[in-house]
Amino acid sequence: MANVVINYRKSSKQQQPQVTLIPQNQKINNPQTQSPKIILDETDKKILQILQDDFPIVTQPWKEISHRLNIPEQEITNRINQLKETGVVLRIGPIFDSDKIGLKASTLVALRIDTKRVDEAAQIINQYDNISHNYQRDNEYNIWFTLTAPNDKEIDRTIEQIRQKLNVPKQDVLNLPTRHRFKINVIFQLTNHNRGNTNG
Amino acid sequence: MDEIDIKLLTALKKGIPLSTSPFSEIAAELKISVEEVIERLNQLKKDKIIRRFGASIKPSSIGLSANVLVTWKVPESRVQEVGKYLSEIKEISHCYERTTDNPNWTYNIYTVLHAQNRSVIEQMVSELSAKWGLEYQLLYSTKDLKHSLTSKEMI
Repeated sequence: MANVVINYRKSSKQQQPQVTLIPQNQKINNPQTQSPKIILDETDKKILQILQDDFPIVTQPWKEISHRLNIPEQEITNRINQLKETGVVLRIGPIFDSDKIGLKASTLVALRIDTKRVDEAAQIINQYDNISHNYQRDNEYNIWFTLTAPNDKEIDRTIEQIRQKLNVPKQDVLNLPTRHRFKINVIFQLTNHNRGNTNG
Repeated sequence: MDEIDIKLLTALKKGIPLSTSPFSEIAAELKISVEEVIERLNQLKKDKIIRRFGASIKPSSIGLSANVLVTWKVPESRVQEVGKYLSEIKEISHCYERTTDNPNWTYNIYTVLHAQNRSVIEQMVSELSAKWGLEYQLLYSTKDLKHSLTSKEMI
């Protein structure tokens, strides 16, 4: 993926400079860069763009994508399979607005835990269906995850349950409830073609 | 949203299968027609219950190897102004105002920023900090604890 230009989706009228990737050997040491290198060609990028922000909800979506890109359906599905197997595509499906499906409360939780216990903690945290992002971060608070629930009481109950399972003191847990969501848009621009603004 | 919608969304939690007609499989599971599945999904999208229907991509796989959570201390009177400004930046995928009851942790604006490396991030964040005169912390993710452990299931 070195030397590739990635255009993010424009989130406003404001034009921002394009992001140009630097060669692999200039990257600084970061655990995330150590994953196997995946090379995407122009066709992969076109497919990924449609899969991200213009997925056809029709009886035969792959066939529809094949028509749009003028590429045989078999090739489309082979490539998508490949993109899933290599972990480029994590999932294809609906992304809900949690507060519209009855999960009115949401929060960001931070934990301070011994580095040696991070994997153990992750296993416990990941058992909860209503936890959507869970990252280890280089801060004294080293585990951060988001949690949604029908109400604040349920949020507090879940955090307390996790805290007890992990046996960490109260001062090692931060509960940072959402007060206002200014933006959420996790669509990456891979092709030059821009279809306009979306809240994704 | 009725009971069938809830069943439909539950069935799609892990995503659609890669078969020729993925929505037909879901329809069979719910014992409704494929047309109904498609109609319901489009309606849920229209009602914004489904914010987006599509692929979730692992940023590092497309060269965005550095992902950072930036926590900002913004005076109450400037939260709206700063929040809106940060939301306009395309490298920022999330921008939230959050409350805290911990006196040792008083950050109130949280942004997630994706870029190809840490130096790009540091440059951007220091410019933003200078512009608004804000204290901040950079919290780099060093491991995706959810996807690294459950990636097989997510696929």
